[in-house]
Amino acid sequence: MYYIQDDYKIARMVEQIVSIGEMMLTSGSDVSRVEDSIRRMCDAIGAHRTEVFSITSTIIVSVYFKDRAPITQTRRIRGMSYNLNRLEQLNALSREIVAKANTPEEFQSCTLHQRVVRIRTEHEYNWKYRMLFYALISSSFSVFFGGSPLDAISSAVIGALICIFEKFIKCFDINPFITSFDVSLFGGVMAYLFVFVGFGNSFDRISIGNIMVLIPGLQLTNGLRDMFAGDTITGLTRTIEACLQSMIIALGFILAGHLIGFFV
Amino acid sequence: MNNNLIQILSAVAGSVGFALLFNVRGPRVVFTAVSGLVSWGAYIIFSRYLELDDFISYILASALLTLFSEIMARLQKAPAAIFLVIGMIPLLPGGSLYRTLHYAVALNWASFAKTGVYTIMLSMAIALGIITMMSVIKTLMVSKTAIRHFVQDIRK
Repeated sequence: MYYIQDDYKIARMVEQIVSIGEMMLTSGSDVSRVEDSIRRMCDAIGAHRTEVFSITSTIIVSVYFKDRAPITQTRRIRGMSYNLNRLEQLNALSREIVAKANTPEEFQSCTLHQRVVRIRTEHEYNWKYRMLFYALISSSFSVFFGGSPLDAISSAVIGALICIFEKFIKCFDINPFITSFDVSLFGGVMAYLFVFVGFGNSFDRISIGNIMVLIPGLQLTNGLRDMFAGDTITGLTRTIEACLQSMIIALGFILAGHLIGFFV
Repeated sequence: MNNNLIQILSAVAGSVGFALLFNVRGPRVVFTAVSGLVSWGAYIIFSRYLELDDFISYILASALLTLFSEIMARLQKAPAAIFLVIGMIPLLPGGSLYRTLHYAVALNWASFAKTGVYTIMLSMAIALGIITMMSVIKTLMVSKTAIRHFVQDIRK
């Protein structure tokens, strides 16, 4: 087993490991995988015993060694940015750490830090691409739920507009529920206007495409998996959060349609 | 084109969109598209051709998707979550959720209750499908070591 001499160095090492766990969690991993990866990595750097507890908003790690003081580190996790490519890379990195931990020259806290930073700052699609993806998803789900080609086109346009509006609203930095309510109100108003002008046949079929983009499906699926993997707290939090958010989104669209219907 | 084919194609297109949105790279995008195909294709086969109940079809479809994603994870050396969460998106009861709240806003409580229960039922079916297949897979995966431990324990 590779033995690190310096107390400072090993604390930094644990810090990097917790960072990997944190990034896994924010990229959309389930909690049991995060806990498992952190435990394995800590064991690999020579821990005698590792205690990890994680829910969606925190990670608490205590690492015990045979002949030195234990290290405890915590992270408060805010916000999610789903990125499945990053999740995959982190997964590979953690496996590599477990496999290579006994070769000191290849595995130092500074090189580990570099790799973590490289994964963190990796290229993501910018907002122009995201607009395209929103449009693609909106139009395909509009067709999926029985929309006409015209509905699909207007749903795509609204999807792209929603992407910009979401970016704008996120600058206000209010809580996620209010953000998604604002966004869906905007979407509903736009859908109503599009139908009103005659660019689209059915308000419902246009909106459902946009709703499918905004609904936190990944979170719901992860919540269900967490719950059945034994992490009941995380699973319940995620599932309930996802359900509330989807309800708020659908409600936003419908309310916007009704409210405008009164005035126009 | 018939309705089922259109639905399957649009489900695949939607899955590709989500895969790109969640930053899936390279050939993985194709496999996530296939997972969208598997989930909605399975649902259509079970519910429209075999004419099973929606609840049962959802359980079977999500179980099948879970199996598919575990197999893909082994083949592709990637977390199963990638294929599972994206393939699951066409199955999410977005349409019936929308109708439920539509009835609520229209103050049509009888239809609201009916569609609401239907929506909850579909979500439960998804969960049931995942848990069933996951427990089968997990059990089979560790069965070899588990049986060895069991035999050792008995011999003591």
